[in-house]
Amino acid sequence: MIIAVANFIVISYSQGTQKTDAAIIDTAGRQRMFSQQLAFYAERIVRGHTASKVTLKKVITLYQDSLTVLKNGGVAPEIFGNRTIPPTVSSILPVVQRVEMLWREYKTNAEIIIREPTSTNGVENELVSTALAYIEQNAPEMLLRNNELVVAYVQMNDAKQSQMNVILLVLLIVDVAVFGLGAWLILLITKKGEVEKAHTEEMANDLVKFKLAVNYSYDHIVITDAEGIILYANQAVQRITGFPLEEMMGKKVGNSELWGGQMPEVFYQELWKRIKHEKKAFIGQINNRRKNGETYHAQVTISPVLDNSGEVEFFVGIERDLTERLKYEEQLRMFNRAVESSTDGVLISLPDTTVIYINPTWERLTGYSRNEVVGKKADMLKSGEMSQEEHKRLWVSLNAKETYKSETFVNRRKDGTTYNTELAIYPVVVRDKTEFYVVLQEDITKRIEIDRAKTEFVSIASHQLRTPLSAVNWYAEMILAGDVGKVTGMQKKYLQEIYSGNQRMVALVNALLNVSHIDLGTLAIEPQPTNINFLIADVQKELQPLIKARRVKVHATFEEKMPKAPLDPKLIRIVFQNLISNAVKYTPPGGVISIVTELQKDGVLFSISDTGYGIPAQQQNKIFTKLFRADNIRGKDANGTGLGLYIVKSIVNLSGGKVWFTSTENKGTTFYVTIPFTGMTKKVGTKGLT
Amino acid sequence: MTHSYTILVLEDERPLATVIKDKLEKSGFEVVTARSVKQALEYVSEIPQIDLIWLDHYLLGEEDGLDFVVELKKSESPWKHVPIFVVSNTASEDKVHSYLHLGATKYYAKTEHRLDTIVDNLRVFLENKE
Repeated sequence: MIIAVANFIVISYSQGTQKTDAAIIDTAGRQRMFSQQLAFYAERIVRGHTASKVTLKKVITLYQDSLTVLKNGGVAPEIFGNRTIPPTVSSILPVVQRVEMLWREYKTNAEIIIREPTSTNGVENELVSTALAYIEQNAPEMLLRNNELVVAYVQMNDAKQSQMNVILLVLLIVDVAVFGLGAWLILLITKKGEVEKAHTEEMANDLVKFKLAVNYSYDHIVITDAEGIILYANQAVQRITGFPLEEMMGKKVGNSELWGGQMPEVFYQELWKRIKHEKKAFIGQINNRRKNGETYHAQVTISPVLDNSGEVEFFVGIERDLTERLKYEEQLRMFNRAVESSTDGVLISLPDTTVIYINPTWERLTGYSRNEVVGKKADMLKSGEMSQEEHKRLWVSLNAKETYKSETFVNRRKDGTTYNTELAIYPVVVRDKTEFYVVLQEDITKRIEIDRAKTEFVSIASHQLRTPLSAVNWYAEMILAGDVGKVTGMQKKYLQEIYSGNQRMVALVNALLNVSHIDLGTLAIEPQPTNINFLIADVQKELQPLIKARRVKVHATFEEKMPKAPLDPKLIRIVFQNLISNAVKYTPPGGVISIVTELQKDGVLFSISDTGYGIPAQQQNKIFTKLFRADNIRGKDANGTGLGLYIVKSIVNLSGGKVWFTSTENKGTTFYVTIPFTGMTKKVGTKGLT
Repeated sequence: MTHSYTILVLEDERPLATVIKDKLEKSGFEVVTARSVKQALEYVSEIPQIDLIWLDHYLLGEEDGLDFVVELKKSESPWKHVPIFVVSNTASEDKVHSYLHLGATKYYAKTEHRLDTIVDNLRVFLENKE
């Protein structure tokens, strides 16, 4: 009589603990014995991601040895005792059901590969066919193709065909004869983690976990009845479709009232045919519509769940919204295009400076093609013209994971020539570790040329404009002085007008040239420790003739402990020169002007109040605009250029300070200027202001 | 004034050269005018006594006022002690620095000064020198 014993060897592998356990479980689902050696070999199978013929044989041998131990009064001899199980359908079915249960417990998406048994043993064939028939009838979805679960029959003699390419496996051994004529393995492999001990209570706990897992799954999971009426939808369905649960329950899935109906009718017909009539799973991609009208693209799997009579009882639909992924891919493509078409040269390197990418602009700038640079060290582009200090500065920045920037970096082209570039190296730091360097370089050869041209323009303009002004000045001066004969009263008066008109022209040209320097960015800044009290006193002294002529009084109250700040005295002087002369010019005779300097937390506050004409309220917002002059003073003083306050604001901005004012027409104006102690930054421009 | 001083005026703009010459002559100076560095260097070597040079920056020809100062102030130059007053409208900081560094005595921006002021300064300078 043939004696068949059906048992599981459950080999579980936990990815978390990287521990493999093996247990023998009997057909009643009770765990009977652990085997260290089995675990060892199982681990080799699992880690090797393959089941070699030898390893599988070893497992079988060990299993059989274990049985011997048990039979000979080992740890748990009662597992077999004298009990024998005839090789009947009734003996195989509990085993298959157990497999099914485990599969249901761990499946998400499943791919099941069935290998038909090739044994010639009739009993084996009958057993396997019985098992297969059961699975096809009760759990056909176990036979689906998918990626994450494999159920395979592997004949012992043909073990290399098994598909153990995932993490966890359950071995079912149907031992046809006690020390058998052969053995069949059913390998159930899932990715889902450790097989729990097969105690009933724990199974119940697992079921709760399973429900939670489904409910909070990232993927959309819907269960419908055989007609497609929604019975269950998890959280993700509401999140992805935007429909609240109460709106979808009881409705038919796939209709246009919900998220469906976006595909051609024939698509749904084919789908329905497959899942309902052929009772097979559908896997594909689908367009759906959210409640807010937005369409989205999803990966979808719909599996029929059959009842005992082989009829569809439920459908399980799983969808994954691909919109985010598509958006992400689109974004990636966009960034790729941006980098590829950037007019800046872009290079990406590993932390050891091995180049992994250069964009076309970089190729054009250096003359090297991508193939010539990628894989090589970035220092192949070194010009050798960089100073030791600069090289040190570069690596100090990069080692501190800070950006390195240089406005005047010299690189070498493939042909050996060098070029000027503005260069920045950005360390890409992930979890405090530099993963890449991104290097941007801009060829500034042209910019340098343009800067030079701009400077030259202002320089030539300045010379050309001033030469005729000098001629008018000096000739008028000589005539007025009587150097070329006596000048009559009226002639003298007229000549005086020419002379002073020309003086105004000189002042205007100077102011315009200053504005050009500011606007063209060709202004040089040479900061040196400067006490603004001295500057103000000096300007006040210089303006004494004007102050006297205007018959106004000027009081100055200086901060006694005025520190020196790094400022360009020539520039900052222009600020005071303009503000004080404005106050004097626009205050009627008898008026009073008060100048105050005081210390503040971060800098100096300068203020100048007058009792003058004031600035009309509706024109106050234009006062710092180029060439603007307020209506109320145009008739009173013809000498203004309309450029002074524009220049003042530009210079104050250069020092990081602020300028503002309060003014009431016919009462007076107070201008305020703050200058931070940090002062100005040196700029090797081309010109100071005149 | 015991004798009249000779001033070499380097100025490429005719109207300016004329007015400078007239003013200096009215003020009792002997005046020689040149419009290029080459011409000026010839005059310097031909004319026995030049007391002072009035120099503009931009001149005719390739060379400018700076080239002239460099040439004149060379260590082997017999005229290295002749004072130079630079009177120019290209009053950028770096140029003023360069002129004074190379040995020019004074720098004036044309539009900022009256002719008689410069001439007076020049006379005072020469008289004090004696």
